Formats: sequence, structure tokens, C-alpha cells
Amino acid sequence: MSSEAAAERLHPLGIGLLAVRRARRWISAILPALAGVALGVGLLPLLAALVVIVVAGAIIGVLEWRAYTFGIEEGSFVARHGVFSRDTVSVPLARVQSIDIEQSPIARLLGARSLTIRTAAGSATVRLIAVSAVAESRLRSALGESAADGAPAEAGAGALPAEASAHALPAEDVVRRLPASALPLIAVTSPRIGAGIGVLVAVFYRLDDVIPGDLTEKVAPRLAPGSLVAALLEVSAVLAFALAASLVGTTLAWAGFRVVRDGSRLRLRRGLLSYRETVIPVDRVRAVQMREGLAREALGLCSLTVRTAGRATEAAQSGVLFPLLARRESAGLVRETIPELELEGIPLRRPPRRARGRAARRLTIPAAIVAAPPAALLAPYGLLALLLVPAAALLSLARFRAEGVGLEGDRLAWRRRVLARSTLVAQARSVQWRRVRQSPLQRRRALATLEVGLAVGGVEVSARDLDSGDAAALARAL
Amino acid sequence: MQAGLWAGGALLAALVAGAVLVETGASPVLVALPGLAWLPFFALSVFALPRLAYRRWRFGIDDEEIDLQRGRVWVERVLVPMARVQHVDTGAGPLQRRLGLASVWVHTAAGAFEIPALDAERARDLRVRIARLAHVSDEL
Repeated sequence: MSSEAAAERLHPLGIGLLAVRRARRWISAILPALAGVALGVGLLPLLAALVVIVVAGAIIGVLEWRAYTFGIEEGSFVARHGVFSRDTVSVPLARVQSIDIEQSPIARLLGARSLTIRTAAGSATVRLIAVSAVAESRLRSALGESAADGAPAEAGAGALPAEASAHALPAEDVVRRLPASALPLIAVTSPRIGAGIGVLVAVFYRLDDVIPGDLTEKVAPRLAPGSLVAALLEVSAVLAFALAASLVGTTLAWAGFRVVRDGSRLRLRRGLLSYRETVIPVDRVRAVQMREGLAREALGLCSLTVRTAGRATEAAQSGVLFPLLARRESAGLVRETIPELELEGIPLRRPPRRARGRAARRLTIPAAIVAAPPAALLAPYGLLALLLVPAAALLSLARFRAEGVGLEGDRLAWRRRVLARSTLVAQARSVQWRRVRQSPLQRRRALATLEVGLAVGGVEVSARDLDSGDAAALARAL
Repeated sequence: MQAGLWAGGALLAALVAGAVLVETGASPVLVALPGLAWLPFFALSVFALPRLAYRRWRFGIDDEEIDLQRGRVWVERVLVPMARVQHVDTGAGPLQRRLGLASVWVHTAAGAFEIPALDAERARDLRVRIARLAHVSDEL
């Protein structure tokens, strides 16, 4: 128990959060009973019951807060909690992949933040709901130290390194900031905007049904309903709304984004009202991904994401290395932040020309099958469905042109396109297995499919229709 | 597996054909025809294809790597470095157990691979051998 004495407590805001969590859980558990009381007996007993729940929640909150301690002991992060049954979670610092820091506006006022400690085992291993700035910076620096040399963070028995505080940290080395002028560009080119328009159109038509009379008559009473001008007005109103919504969302999420290099760690910070930060030791980064959405590709823009070992799903948004930058600047940024995963200089083995026909047919034939019935049955407008076919052909060829895998030293590169083009550069040592497949039709053309399993967030590299010699050579070399 | 799908597909086609014939009010003999036509597929997928698949299944294990190969028409080859093996286990379903068989599962940090239906004894030996060869631990 002596080591527990040296450990830290949560920020006092934690009392409130624990109490609210507890009270909410109780209320949802007895909600039917509460509703019964309200309907059968009256509102006063209901209020009394709620007061009892809130007070009891607050008491338990204080007890839980008193029982919750955390700290670093012999190179492991340790958290102990539980009023009645004691739980101890211990995570070796060498196993921590990243820490997510989050600060809601309220927490910001009180100087608290929540920390989520992630390991390769997938789900968030430990979540500290409220800690002080000092505790945050201590944990952060302990993470970097152990990542650098694997030594226990500090000899001091059980305590966090005592001297490190927010003020004692070396000056921040901001590698790059997202200029505010980039926010509108993110909003406009975000794939979100398409979905936003869809939702708005749906809502719009609903409104038309609900509100008596034509909506456009209210917006522009002098315009004849159904006229071209009215339709254009409607469309531009929808577009303006979608844009505004996207801009607000983008600004809240990405304003103030910056990449900070802090010793051997990367700190990715962002957010306007709520503030989020991901701390990743550089040597934990297993892969970098460059994504070029359709609109962004046309403008020569891309976004960069870093991946660590473990599952991707949860940490997906937390690993954005940069939300939007010029494609030609991306290599430079990666070189500055994660030199081991240099984006450039990996020659890609691409599917040979003889695979082009196969690639083109892959989407075009299904598109033709889908488009044929409406085209045949619903003339003349059904013929529009035939436009699917050239679109599918174009996409097929674009995919064919994008596809490629390469190995250079200990970097593996994989480029491909779904709609957006993405390029992944991963450490070859995260390769877990390689598989070469060949169907009878591929054999006739001496082609083969190469698949590579990576220990990086569920990524399975798959390059179709490589030259079979290339595929075998890569499988051997990896 | 592929053989099963193949026979299943053929069965489905036979059933559809039979149903269509019933709808058109054809004679019982005619209705039975698709079923009869399906029988050879069934026989092939039960007796011939698994045998072929079995004969083509190969695996090799050395200090460095596990090498799994299978298929004659759809050919597949998997290479797993020993250093990437996280753990190995053996498992047998009720049917396999009755026949004294077991499968070896090789787990990596990105999925698992099966070496199916070995002699139970041999499967155990294999598991021990792979576990020993994979002893070198590897951080992610």
C-alpha cells in the first residue's frame, strides 16, 4: 500500500463527472419505475426520488474519486480504482502506443483534461476522466522517455517524475500550423459536404410536405412556383446551407491544428471549443497514409494520417498528421516529423499493361448489368442509366493507373484508389504474412494477386494483377 | 470450401429449374430431371474435389518461415515468418475428434491461418515445434 500513497488523484472535476455518470446510470436503470411514480403518485415524490439519487450519486462520486489513484511505477502506468472491489490496471510504458487528450469547454475553464491511453490491444486501455495539467505533462513526458530508451521513467519510488511540470517543458517546436485560411478549403473539399447535401435535400422535401403551400413561395413570393429561377434558388439555398454546416463543423474540429515535435514525441493538436490532442512517440508510428479525395486530388491537395500498431477503428480520427496540405509539401512534412517513413523514393511495381483489360472489365461489366434493365424498360429517361457505364470504365482505368506496391529498404509502399487515391507507407517490419493468389484466368496472363497482412490497424495490402514474377519476388523480399 | 460452394450453387440452380418446371405444370419425370442433373456435381464435390484439394494442400516449416500452399485451379501461397507468430493452438471439432484429427492454428498480429485436419498426434507435435521455433518474441 505504500506505493499507492505516492500515486496521484484525479482532478476535482472528476468528482462531478463520476457523480453524474453514477446518477445517470441509476436513473436509466430505474427509468420505468420513475415514470410510474410520476404518473401514479405525482411529481413531488418523483422530485424527491431524483434528489435522493443525485445526493447518493454525489456521495459515491466523492468516494470513487478518493479511491481512484494513478501513477507510474517501475516503468508501468498503474491505475487503481473501485470503492468496494479494488481494480488495478497496469500498462507497461513500452506498450503504450499513444495518448489522446481531450478538453471540453468546461474542463478548459477548470484546467482539467481527460486522457485516454491506447495500446496495440485495441480498445482504449485506460481513460482518466479528469487530470490536471501537471499530471498530463508528467504522463506525456514519461511516455516519450520510455519510448526512447525503454528505461523506467524515473527511479523515484512510484511517484511521477516530480520536477516535470507544464512550465519546465522545453519550448514547443511547432513543425507546422494549419492556417485559418485552409479551413474553408477543407470544408469545401470534404466528402462530408456531399452527405450534408443529401440530408438537406431530404429535410427540404420533408418540409415541403409538412408546411402547407410551397416553401419557395414564402422564400420568394414573387417567383412563380416551379419556375427555373425558383429551382435554382432552392438549389443554391441547399448548397449554401451545406457549405455553412460543413464550415462550422470543420472550424470546430480543425481550427488551431498544429503538429508539434516535443522531444521524441509528436503532438497533434486541434479544436476550437473542445480541444483535442494526440501524443504519439515517433518510434511508435508504423505507417503514414496520404489520402487524396477526388476534389482534393484535382486541386493538388491531400491529407496525412499516421498509424500505430493495433486496431484502427477507434484511433482513426486521432491520428491525423495534417488535415490538408499541398501534395508536393507532404513529403517534406513527413521527412520532418517521421523521417523513417519518408514518402518518396519507393519505386512501385505496377500491374502490367496486359492486366488493363481485366481491370477495365471489373467495374464496367457490373455497371452495364445494372444499367441495362432501366435503359431497356424506362426509355427515354432510363437511357440516362447508361451513363453509369462510361463512368465505371473511367473509374476502373483510374484504379488501374493508381495501383502499385513497392519495397525499398525497410519501407513498404502501397498505392490504390477506391474513389479517393491513397498511398500507404509502412515499415516492412510490421509485415505479418504475405499471400500470393492466382486464379485460372490470371495464370493465363501470368498475373497474380499479392496480399500482405500488416500489424497496423487492420490494414491488409492487396495488389491485384501484378506480374506473377513481381508478386512472387515481392512476397519473398518482404 | 470451394467444392461445397460449387455443389451448393448447382443445387440452387437445380431447385430453381425444378420450381420453374413445377410452375409450368410439367410431368413429375421432367421435374425430377434437374435434380438428376445435379447428382454428378454433388458426387464430384463430395468425392473427387476434396480429394484433389487434399492432395494439393502442402505446408512446410523451417526455422525461418511457415509456408502454406494449396489449390490447383485457384492457387494460393501464404508465407508467415516465424518471428511474427504470436501463438499457436490446435483445435478439433466433434467430427474431427471422432476421426482422431486436429487442426493447427497459427496466429499473427494480423490474422490467423489454419493447417487443417492433421493426425491429432502430428498436430500436437507440430504445435509444439512451431511454438518452439517462434520462441523469439517480437514487439509490434
